[in-house]
Amino acid sequence: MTQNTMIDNFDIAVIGSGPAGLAAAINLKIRNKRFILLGYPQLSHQVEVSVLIDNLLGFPNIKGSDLNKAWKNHLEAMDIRIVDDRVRQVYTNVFDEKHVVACRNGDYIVRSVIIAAGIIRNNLIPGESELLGQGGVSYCATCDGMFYKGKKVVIFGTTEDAVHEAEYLCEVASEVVFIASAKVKGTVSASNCTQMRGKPVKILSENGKFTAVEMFDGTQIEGAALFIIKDAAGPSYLVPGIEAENDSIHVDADMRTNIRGIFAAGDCTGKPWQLMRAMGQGQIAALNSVRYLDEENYWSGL
Amino acid sequence: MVKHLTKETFHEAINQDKLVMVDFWAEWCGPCRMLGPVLDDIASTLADKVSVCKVNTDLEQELAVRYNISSIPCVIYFRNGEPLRASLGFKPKENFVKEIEELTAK
Repeated sequence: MTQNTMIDNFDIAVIGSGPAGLAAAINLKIRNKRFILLGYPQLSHQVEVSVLIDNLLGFPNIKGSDLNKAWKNHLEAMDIRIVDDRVRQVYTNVFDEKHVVACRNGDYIVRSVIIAAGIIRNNLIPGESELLGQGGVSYCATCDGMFYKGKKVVIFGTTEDAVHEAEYLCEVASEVVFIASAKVKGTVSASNCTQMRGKPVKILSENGKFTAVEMFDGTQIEGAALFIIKDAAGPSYLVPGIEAENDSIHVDADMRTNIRGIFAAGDCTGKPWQLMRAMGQGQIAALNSVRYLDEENYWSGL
Repeated sequence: MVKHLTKETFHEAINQDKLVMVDFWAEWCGPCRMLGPVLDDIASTLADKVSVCKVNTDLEQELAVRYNISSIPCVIYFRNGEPLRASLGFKPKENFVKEIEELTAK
């Protein structure tokens, strides 16, 4: 990982551009706070593909794509921009109670974070969580690639980001096998890279260390390490030290998590996974994030 | 004060009856740099309970290989030269304090 630019002109970072993140952003804008909204400019994929939403107050049977359009218009009307950068991890309380939101293109130093990252819908590959870390499975090529200098590695990716990570690995490893899922459009041109379509069905290991992935047709691809590049990792990976159970972040009625200055809202805080709940939580998180910044004793009341 | 160890000074540093935390890190590793201030804080506030040390894995590859380091940051706790426990990745200070309390409980 190269030295990232440190950006400190924001007080609050909102992670996620679904209903929770957007509701938070609108309220922060109204309260005149310097915030950055990190997410996908095309907003929530889940909302986009919802054919009919029957329980959004005031909008019976609205199409998901129409709702996303209305949200986009609202953001534009308020001059709120979505920064299209991928959040890797959030490092909390690093300098004087400030948090670092480490992204692909920059590290944002903020006083408060609202996690509105939704829920992970992808399934883990058998063996993935057990081998993450010392077992040779990693979610970040630029972080851990250097350890496999001169060795053969395997990278499995479901997003376009995976192409960049694979390219980086080609510079460091002797040989790279890049397994790209159907959604990935980019290709890697390096001579030491073999690119293929598919998805591993199993991760094989020996003595607690990764040895190979097994594909649907039974073929095995060996390597010294496996890098998995996907859309989202659970909250415990995103924010080390956060209290969560089954990937649901614990929050109190103020949307506060166990870490000072960190709030969470929406599907990532648990069920029911519903639009109105997400929007309400996003608003509460934003208003309390403002209180946290403005009132000295706000958090100690926890 | 965080001590920077080399393969020459490593053995003596971990062979104490006191708990020693060794952070295996590298310059190019983002989370490792984030952990820096956290460890500095622990070194100054919990100096009576633990000795905080660092090993730069790029400069001391032999030590990194000896302890099987393949993912950083990796903090290994030692007492009397024996590795007791490893902690991977960035963690907030509170998490390390809890680990230190557990390892120093009588």
